[in-house]
Amino acid sequence: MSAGLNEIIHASNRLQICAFLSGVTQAEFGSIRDMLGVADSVTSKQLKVLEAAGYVVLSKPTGKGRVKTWVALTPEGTRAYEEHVAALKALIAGAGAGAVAGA
Amino acid sequence: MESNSVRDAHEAQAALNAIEGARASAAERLTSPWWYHPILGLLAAGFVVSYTLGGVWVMLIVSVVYFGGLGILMGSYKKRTGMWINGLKAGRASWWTLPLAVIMIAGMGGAYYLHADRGLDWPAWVAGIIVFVAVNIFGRRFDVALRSQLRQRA
Repeated sequence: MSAGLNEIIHASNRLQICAFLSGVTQAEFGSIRDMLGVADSVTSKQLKVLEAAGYVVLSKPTGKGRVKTWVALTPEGTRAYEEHVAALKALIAGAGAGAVAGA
Repeated sequence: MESNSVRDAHEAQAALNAIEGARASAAERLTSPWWYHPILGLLAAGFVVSYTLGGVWVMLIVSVVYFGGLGILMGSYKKRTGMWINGLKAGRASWWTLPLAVIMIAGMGGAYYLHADRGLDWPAWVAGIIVFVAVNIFGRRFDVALRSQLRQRA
């Protein structure tokens, strides 16, 4: 893993979850599952990893009908995601500079 | 060494593409139903007019209807889109929310002053119409700005 990249966030599904949540206040479990195009169990597993790292918070508001799980990025998760994206961009920029220097 | 670096850069680009896809998916979902802004506008306009012209009981009832209505509207939006976004914490898109809040506060304050100090009722109706129109214009602009923001590169 290159410097600056976050091993927890780097996994494809978890990266997409963080990206999906980065632009909104919160998203419902089903919308995350649909975005990933995977099963409930896979979505749940990825969210638990992010939750254990303190990157997302899960809530189940009570009310009428079936209880739904809502997910939001924590400030720590937002920071980790932004740092990961910056590291990805730096990696690409570094490779581009290396290619020019080697030409 | 170089081949590792190139492979990593390809992986990094693939990761950025995945991020773009996820954010575009969020943008597609964040589309307000056609009735969202008209109902929000009616609630806000009703609040401004009734709060200005009504007595204490009317103010209490209007407050319950207004905030209860906002709760139902927000719940419907969340159920329909599977997402929620705080209009005041939406990055650059929030620039469309702030003037709306200013218009509503200024409209209500101005109408209330003219009613209480000059005994005029019509400014409350004008303020209500302005608030209704502003909610529909600024609310839709907020939606467009938010989706555009999400579709931009990470």
